[in-house]
Amino acid sequence: MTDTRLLELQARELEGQVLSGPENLELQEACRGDSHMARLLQEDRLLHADLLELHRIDATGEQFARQCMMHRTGDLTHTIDAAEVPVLQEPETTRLPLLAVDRPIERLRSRRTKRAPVLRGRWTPWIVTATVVGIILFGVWWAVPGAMRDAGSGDTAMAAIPNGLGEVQSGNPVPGDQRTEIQPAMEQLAGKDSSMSQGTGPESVAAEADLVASVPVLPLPTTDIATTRRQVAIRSAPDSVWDSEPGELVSFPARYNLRSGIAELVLDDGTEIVFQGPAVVTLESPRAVLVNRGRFRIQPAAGEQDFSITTPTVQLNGRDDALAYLDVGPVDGTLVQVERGALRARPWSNDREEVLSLAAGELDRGIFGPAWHADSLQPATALALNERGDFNSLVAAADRPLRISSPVVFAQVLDTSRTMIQEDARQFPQQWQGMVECLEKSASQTDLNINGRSVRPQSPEEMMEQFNRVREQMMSGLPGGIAGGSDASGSSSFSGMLNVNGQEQHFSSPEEFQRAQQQMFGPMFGRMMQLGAGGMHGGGSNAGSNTGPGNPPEGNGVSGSGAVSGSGQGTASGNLFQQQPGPTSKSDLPSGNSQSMSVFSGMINDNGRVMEFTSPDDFNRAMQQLGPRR
Amino acid sequence: MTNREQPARKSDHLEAVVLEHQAGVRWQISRMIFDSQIVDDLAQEVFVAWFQVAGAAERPGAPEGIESTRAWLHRVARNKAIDWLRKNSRQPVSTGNMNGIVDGVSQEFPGDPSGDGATADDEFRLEALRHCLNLLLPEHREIVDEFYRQGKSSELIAARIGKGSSGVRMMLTRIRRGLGKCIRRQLDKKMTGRKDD
Repeated sequence: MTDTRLLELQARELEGQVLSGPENLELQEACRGDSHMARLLQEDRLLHADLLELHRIDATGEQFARQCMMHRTGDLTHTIDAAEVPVLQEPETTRLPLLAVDRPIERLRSRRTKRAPVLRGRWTPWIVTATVVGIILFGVWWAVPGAMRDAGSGDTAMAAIPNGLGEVQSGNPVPGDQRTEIQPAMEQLAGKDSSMSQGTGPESVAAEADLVASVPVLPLPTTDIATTRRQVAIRSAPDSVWDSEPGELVSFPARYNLRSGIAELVLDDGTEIVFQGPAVVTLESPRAVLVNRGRFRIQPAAGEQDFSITTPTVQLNGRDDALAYLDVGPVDGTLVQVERGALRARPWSNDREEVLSLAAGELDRGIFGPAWHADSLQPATALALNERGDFNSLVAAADRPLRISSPVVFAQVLDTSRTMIQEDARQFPQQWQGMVECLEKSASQTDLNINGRSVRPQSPEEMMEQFNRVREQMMSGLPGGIAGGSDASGSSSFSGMLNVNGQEQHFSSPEEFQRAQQQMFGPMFGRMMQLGAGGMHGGGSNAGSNTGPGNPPEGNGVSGSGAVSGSGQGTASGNLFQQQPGPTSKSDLPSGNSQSMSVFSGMINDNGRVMEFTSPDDFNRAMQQLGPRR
Repeated sequence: MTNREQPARKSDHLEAVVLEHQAGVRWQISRMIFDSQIVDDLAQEVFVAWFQVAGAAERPGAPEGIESTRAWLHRVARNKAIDWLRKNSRQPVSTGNMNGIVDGVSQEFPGDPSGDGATADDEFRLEALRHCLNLLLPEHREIVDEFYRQGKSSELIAARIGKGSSGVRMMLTRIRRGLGKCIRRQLDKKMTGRKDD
């Protein structure tokens, strides 16, 4: 065997080629039997490694120095001057220069042969064997159904996720894994970590505990192994306080905990996330972000896949043209404002695929409360609305969502549900399920005939609106309405008939009408109509003044009963968020103290009657006040 | 000098120190650890430690009590690399000096507890390698550059120069052997110089 042959074999190996078994054996035996040849080969390997390292050091020297300067005194924020902070409102100017050192994957790959001098040769057969066994074991593990894998977790929980190098780690749960990371985050939200807890009173703790219990376990977004190691540029205001100092190279999932201040993450693909602490954000993949709390401005970069934003109460999916502001609170749920593009909102990770659409210029604002659970004080609510008063919502309890596009009906449903939960929480799920089921079945098969006029509602909420209207007219005795009214002597002058699926109920007084509804749609519906139609407020009418005699509801939106939009002049939520909920100018990222990024406040203007709100609860209360007003 | 200018100058000075010594520090760590990611992380820790020491200094230059910035950085780098190897239970590949090459990979860190001797050899080897590279024929230098800096495969290089990939691999082997001899000569010269001293 010649020296040339051995050197050729090693040269192939150094270049990254895999030698065959006999070739490896050839090399090893030659080294064992000839010390001169062994030394020759070893020198060659070392020179190869030195040349690789020398060129790498030379090529990345300046970048390495820059990165060191970023870590000067261990504080990344030292490189940030408030005057440098970009104007965030203009996408073109929001792009920050990448501050992190460029360590592209290609460079890492170019060092593919760096380990060869040590590992290859003696160890190659072992490495090959171990790799093959590992692949087989991973295949077996993967073939096991997910439930079995989960069942096998327990104390010795196995977490297998791709790490930054595309390898699969197994063993103890790893940092950044949502399955292990979400729990501490939720504990913080529940007030177990006093430094992260905002509320101190028992109500706050209880509410936060509700939220903790209601946090859905959302599926882990798919992570592309090939892109698990990415670069991120981080800028933060001088007064920002991080839980732990963030690095610039991201191995997904990567979690950032900003205790206070404002910071910006820019991924190397251009995705921008600005957030204000206290905030917890996890980059699950380049196309999936998990935000546990805080205020965010998220602008995904162009990409073929949908971009996904997951909060404890909603999962938002959209294309790359979207720009959204989020306020994720520990108690209030998630507030969303879509500034550009569109997002599909799937609240509470509901498995019925009930979706609310949010889009700039349309329903551009969303409020997503915590999911319903057995101890909830009200059903779960998810709303989409805009400045013009357009409205859409989902109300859900006991795994039965109800879509409602009238704010009046929404308030009515919520109000009744709260009352009934207070009265008997154990019975409520069954009553809710029964009511929703009955409404869904009966909606298009119900005839309401009053004084000879017949109305056929097409949806549950339309039916509720219609019933509201009838009842209000009956109660107030307004002449000319579908319900007729009372005559001069005060006695009722109307009579009617309710036909549901062929079953008829006749009535000639509000009480009889109430009983008929109760018989047809169950006690909860009857209660709802009673409360919603003025039972709680001592009478009044839900009928909008714009609704002429016999006019049917005007379909979706708030114009049906006129409660919010009335004659079209009213608006819901004039400024649900401030116009610029995120830092939108240089002055929004001050040095020293941080300003609020967004404020949940707004007002409902109903024909001049203005109700302001500063929280989702306020908003709900305002909506309730609107319903039975007239 | 205004108050505003002072930190800027200090910052410039610190950056200059990094630029001047980063290659040596990274090189030295890479003598013991092959993973470039870890090499850079440890090197960064070395400079961050230096910032803490030098940051308190009144004026540029080695802080009081430190005779040589270079020696300090290399000593800390060596210690950090050894610490890392101990923590990760890895055997050092080589100390990077010629003794390491000659005596094989199993040799532990040689005498000289301060590590200065080995450090000097590491750094000298770096300089010797640069020197020897400059002595290469232009066409050989170009091949080395293409293979190691640009990451081209031997097939690509072979296509450019009209040879077979096997020929390119052997050419690279011969170049490496030549560089090794050149470095050895440089080291011998240095050893002779030491003896003369």
